[in-house]
Amino acid sequence: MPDQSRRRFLSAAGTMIALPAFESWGWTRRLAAAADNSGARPKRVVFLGFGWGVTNDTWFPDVKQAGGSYILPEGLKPLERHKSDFTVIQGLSNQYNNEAHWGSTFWLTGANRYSEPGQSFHNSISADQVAAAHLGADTRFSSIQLGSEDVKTSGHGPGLSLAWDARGKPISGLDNPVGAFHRLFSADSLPLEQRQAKLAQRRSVLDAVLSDARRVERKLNRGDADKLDEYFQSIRDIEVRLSKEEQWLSIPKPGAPVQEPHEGLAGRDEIRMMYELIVAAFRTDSTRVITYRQPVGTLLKSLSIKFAPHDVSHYLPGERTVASQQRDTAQSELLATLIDQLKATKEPDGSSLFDHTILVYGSNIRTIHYLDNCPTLIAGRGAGLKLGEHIVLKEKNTPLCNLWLSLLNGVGAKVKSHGDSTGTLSEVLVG
Amino acid sequence: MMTSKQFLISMVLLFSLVSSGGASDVTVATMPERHRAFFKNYCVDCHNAETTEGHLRLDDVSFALDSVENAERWQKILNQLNSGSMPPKEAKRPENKEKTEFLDDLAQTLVKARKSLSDVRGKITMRRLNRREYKNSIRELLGIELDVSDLPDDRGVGGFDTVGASLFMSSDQFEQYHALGRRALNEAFARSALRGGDKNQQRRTDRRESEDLAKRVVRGTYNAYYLGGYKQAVAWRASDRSKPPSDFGLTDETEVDYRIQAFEKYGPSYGAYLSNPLSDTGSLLTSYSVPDEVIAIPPDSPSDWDKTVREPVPTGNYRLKIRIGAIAPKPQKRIFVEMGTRTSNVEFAFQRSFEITGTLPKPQIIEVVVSVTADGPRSFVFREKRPNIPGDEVFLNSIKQIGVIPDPDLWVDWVEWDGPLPTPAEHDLLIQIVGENVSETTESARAIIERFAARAFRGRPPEADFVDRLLSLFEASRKAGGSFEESLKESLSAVLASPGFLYLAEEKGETESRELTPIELACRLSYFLWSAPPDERLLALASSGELSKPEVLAQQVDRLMASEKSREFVTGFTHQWLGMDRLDFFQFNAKLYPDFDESTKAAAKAEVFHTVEHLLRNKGSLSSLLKSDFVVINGLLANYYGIEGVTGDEYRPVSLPANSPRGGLLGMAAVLAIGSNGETTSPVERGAWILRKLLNDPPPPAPPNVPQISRLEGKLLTARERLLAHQEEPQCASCHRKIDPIGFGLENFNAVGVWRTEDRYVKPGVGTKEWPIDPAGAFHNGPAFKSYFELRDLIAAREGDFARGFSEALIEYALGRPYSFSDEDLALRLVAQAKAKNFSLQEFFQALVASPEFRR
Repeated sequence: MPDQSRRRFLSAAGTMIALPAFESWGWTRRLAAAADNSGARPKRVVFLGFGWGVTNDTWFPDVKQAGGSYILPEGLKPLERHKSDFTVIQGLSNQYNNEAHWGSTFWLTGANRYSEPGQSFHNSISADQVAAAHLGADTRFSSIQLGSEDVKTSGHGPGLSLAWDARGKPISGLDNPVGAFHRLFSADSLPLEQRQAKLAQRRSVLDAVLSDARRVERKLNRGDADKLDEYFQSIRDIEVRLSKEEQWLSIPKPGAPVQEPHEGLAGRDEIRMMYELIVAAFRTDSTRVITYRQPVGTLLKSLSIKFAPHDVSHYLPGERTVASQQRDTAQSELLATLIDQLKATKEPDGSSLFDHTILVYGSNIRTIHYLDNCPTLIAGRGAGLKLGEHIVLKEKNTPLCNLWLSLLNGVGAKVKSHGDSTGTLSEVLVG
Repeated sequence: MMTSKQFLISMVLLFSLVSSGGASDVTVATMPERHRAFFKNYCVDCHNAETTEGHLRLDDVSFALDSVENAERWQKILNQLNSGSMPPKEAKRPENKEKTEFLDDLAQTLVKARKSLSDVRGKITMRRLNRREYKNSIRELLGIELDVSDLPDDRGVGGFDTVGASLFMSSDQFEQYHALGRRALNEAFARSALRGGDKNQQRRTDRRESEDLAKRVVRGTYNAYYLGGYKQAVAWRASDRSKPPSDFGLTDETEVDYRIQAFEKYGPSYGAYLSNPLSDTGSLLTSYSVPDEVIAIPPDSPSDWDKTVREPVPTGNYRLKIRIGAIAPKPQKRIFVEMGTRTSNVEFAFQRSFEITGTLPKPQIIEVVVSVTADGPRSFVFREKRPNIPGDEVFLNSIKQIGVIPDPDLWVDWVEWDGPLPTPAEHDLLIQIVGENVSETTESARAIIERFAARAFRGRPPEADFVDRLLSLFEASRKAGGSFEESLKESLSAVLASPGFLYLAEEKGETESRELTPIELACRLSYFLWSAPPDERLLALASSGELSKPEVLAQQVDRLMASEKSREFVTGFTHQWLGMDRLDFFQFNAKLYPDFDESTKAAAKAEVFHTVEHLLRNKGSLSSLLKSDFVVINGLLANYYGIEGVTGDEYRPVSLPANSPRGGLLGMAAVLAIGSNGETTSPVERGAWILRKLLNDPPPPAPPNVPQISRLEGKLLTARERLLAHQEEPQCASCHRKIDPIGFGLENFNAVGVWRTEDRYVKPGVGTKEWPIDPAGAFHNGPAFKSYFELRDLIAAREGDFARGFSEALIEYALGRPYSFSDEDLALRLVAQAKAKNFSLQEFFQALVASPEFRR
């Protein structure tokens, strides 16, 4: 990229010249577009996980009404205006998950917790990270993980976000809107030279700790060396990140298309804000892959529901069912506004973000303690999957990973399999 | 035919049998043979070699669950049976009883198989410091209490937070460690005498007569807002209304109405406060109308709402004092004050509570030392202990009942803060490392870095290459114009992010299981009993080789346990062992249980910890946790339990009358509240908890996909009638027949542990059902009990099972690996040794530390 090296040369010579690219995110976009041979708009992927499942009777459409002309059930009613732009799929599950309280741990991985003898916990790479490996090269952030401080009560299970790296280790997330906003948009006010010096200093820190890590490594047996390998991998990840930061050093972060969030947003307001940030991140092409592990406990509180999230998930006829349905409705309303925004945000070629985004909304838990027929809703035309349908799969326990595989292929990640996938999901593929 | 993987596993098994002297020969989980008939009768007709229905063949399934693949097949069988879908309706189906037995055995066998297949066979994975240990290690190194809430709490995957295999590391976390280390260093330098020749000059004492602020705020609000607005509104109404309300200072007619209403509603309360003569000499703590007593460092001026930008004050410890007395002590109402912090986000974050024994004529002075950090809270709130209901709700209820705010209970004479207090020399750890009047040269930087790294690495000197690189960080910073101190921090913060500090690495020897070096042994011991690094004494004993002598090691166990620092073990271990995090999973309904407020909940938790600590320090028996004739409580809990004669905030042992339901875990409010959902009791939670934690007979984890029974909801039934439905379906009965009866034995305690003899179920629009509690029941295939007391006796008689479960937990916690079959021999030895000493709690620790397993 000649522009960039020229920029670096200029700054190294101590000259600050504002190239046109310097002041707008347009340049970043051109960079990205240049990297995309087809010249098409970049694809985006977003996974929204809601932990405890849904209210079975009022969230799922009637299985007898497969196809395009199904009646939207109560829990999905707020999405009415988008009905032709999303698809609900029934019959997907992760065959290995037996953890009735883990709605997110294996949702995107399909892993078997017990598959490694001698270990009581194992996981594998999540679908978003596979996507990030293909879509993340040209953006400031390969992927962004969003989460919430309200994790314990929200039925997600172990993990630091929805994302797990290539070795099945948890990837941490940005747990509040303020933090996410700053990561994405806060400008570094230091002069370039000082930022370069800081970067160099950070590299030296890595060199130093690596020196100690090698001392420890020399004296370890194999199993421990594997554990220390996590440390080495962390350092490598930071090095990759630093290289990326260096590459982007002279390119200012985009101006934020949203207001800086207030401190202390919780529940509904928090989710709404995170959704705005998702749109803002895509719009500025800061990243193309986002996961969001949504809060449930604080959502209930913000709806003035007095039951604990787990108790709501075990709804019984009466008050708790009403609470469970209120939660479904609130979540669907929020999702509907996210889709509104994706549709309203125009790309330079006149298309909308919605045209280039694939959005997945769901959980590994269906309802109560059920892990089959995982609630799954997809929207957005980014992966070329069929929209406006209610798909009821003939095979009742089709691997969720078949959908992830179809989606990954759809956004250009030509992997052959993912997790326990047995193939792509022909039912969602167009034509 | 044996796959290569299976072959390997068998070889490993063989090896472990030989090496452990044949102690564990039951490591393969096997489904009992008697169930072959069940299989033949109901499964194999469809799932065989010819007709592999659902791509599943079951005629060749091995009854030994000796591989992950085999276990997986059985898991599928269990799932199908649980979901009720197999055998299909049109096929021959088993009787309920038969199915129940099959499910019971299969679920247990699978748990055993999972445990066996994930058995690490004595291997301890090198591990990172967990969040608690990290915090304590920073404290021991720098004397700083660091806020580590941004780090993951390391309790995700089940098991203890000391289990190495689950302690992950990521790039984000590395950067967090680096940043946190930097923050700790900033604090340490700021507090150290190194920079603080002027510290004493910065020290300030600020005493404020409470009435100054309180009266000003109340009078100001009353006169300017309520009374002032009321007068304007009345004046406009009395006018001929030719002029708009805005000429009278009010926006519009809506505001006129609002101001009149507001005055009528709130005015009398403000008036009552101002006309109380005590408000001339102090502030009155009432539930709402006055701001709670706040000590802000530096003070708010004049109060929080005008968003005064505060001047920065030096970080450090500050002493807060508050002179306070009860206004009209009533013998039936004991008075407590709760203290919390206030930040821009959180109105009140509970910290601790105080019993008030001072009176108007004889006030008492509450004294607390708090730590003020660069970004921690600086406002400290004192208020009367109150239910978890928003303040205005309390206020409005009172207005509804008596027209004004409740009479104040407490009068505050003055409040004071004093600080920063000089850091005592022995806490100024940094100066020990940096040295006084150090010359600001590269040579002295090198020496400082070496000393610091050696301490951070717990007695292991850093290598030269590492120090060189750290020094180059220092030099680069110096070159860029950084001060000596700033540049040092660059190097030292890197030490705090390096493996030597973050990991408890144990070097390998020639064989896989060699003896720990003395330093490693010291580390394992101190992280076990303190969750913190070894102190100088322990390191010295390690260096001299003394620690390897059994009698010295035993003395050190006693010394470490006698130290205050062992509280870290008590809280960290006990909290996880007993599953106490459930207490924070839900809100307790403040309308149903107003007394179970923040203060009470905290005290109830503390009771568990103080009881364990009491037993540890006084050669108490583990069995006292099942039943005892004493409790370890403070005034607040005594008040809650209705026990007379206990006043004050410290926890102490108190004897119980013979007929008391308290004494032992089963009578503790915290344990009983764990077995609830914040609204009602949960006999299932309670029963399962007892099986898991007390009787060492854990039920399998709640299975997925079991159909829920909901046909009974809305009907007016007793709790017992409702749960009887569990016995109808084999999928439920296989576990619940063991769980539920035990849980019902505790029904005399309500959701927050208060004794009761009746329960009720209210269904709005349908009616109310009340019934007397009937705790009678029987253990599955075991003895019957008529009352809670009989149940408690039956449980107390099983002290051997309890000791076994405790031993397993202790082994897992101490050795940092999941407990498994290869540890059975060790567990047996622990129980035997402790039993010989009447299950003395201390003895478990001595036995474990003395074992060869602890030293490998």
